[in-house]
Amino acid sequence: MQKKGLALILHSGSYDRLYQGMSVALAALALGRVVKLFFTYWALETLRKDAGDSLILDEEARAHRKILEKNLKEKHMQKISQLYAQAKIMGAKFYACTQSMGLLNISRDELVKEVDKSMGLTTFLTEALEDQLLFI
Amino acid sequence: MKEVEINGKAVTVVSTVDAVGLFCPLPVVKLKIEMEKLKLNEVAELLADDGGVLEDLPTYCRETNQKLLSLSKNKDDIFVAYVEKQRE
Repeated sequence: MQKKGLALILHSGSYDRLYQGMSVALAALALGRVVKLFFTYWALETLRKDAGDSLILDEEARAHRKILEKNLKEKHMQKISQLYAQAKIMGAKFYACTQSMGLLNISRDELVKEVDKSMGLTTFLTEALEDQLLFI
Repeated sequence: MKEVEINGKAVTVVSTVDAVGLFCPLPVVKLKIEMEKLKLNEVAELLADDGGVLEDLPTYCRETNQKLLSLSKNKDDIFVAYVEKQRE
C-alpha cells in the first residue's frame, strides 16, 4: 500500500520552527513517505544562495537563543542547511512559492539548487491533494 | 566491517552509524540514509543516546520492513542496535 504523503508549508524563517518542520519531514522520509515542502515568505528567504546559516529567531524563540546556540555548537542539533541537504538526499521535493518570490523580489537564479520548481498555491494544493498537510 | 555476537550468533556488521549526541529524529534519519547504501541482508549498527530510539527504531523497522536484530544499552549508556536490510 502506498503510504500517505506529507506536505509542509514552511512559512516561518525562525530556526526553531524550521528545525521542527524539517524534523517532521525527515522522520516521514525515513518511514518511506513522499514529502513535499512549499516554502513561503521568511522560510523562502532561507533558500537564497546567500542566506548562510545565521541563527534567525522570532520573538518567542529569541528568549531561548542560548539553549539553541549551545546545542548547535555541541552538534546535538543541525544547521538548517544540513537539514535541507539530508531531506534532499532522501528525496524531498522543494517548491518555492511564486507569490513570495514576487513579494520579496527573489528570482529563481537566487535560490539554492535544492529547489525543484516554483509554483503557486493552487498547483501545490493540487499536488498535495492526497497528502497530510501542515503549516509551520 | 566487524563481527559481533547477537543472540549467540556471529553477525557481520557492514557499517556503523554514530548518532551519539544527535536529537530525535536524526538517529533514525542517519540510519535510513545508511541503509540505502547496504545490500540485502547486510547489517548496520546504530549508536545513539537519544531515548527516542527505544520507540522510534522498532517503529522505523516495522514500517519499512527492515529487521531489528537487537537494541540494547551498553555500559556507557549508549543505545546499540543492529538492523538487517530486508527491503530496498
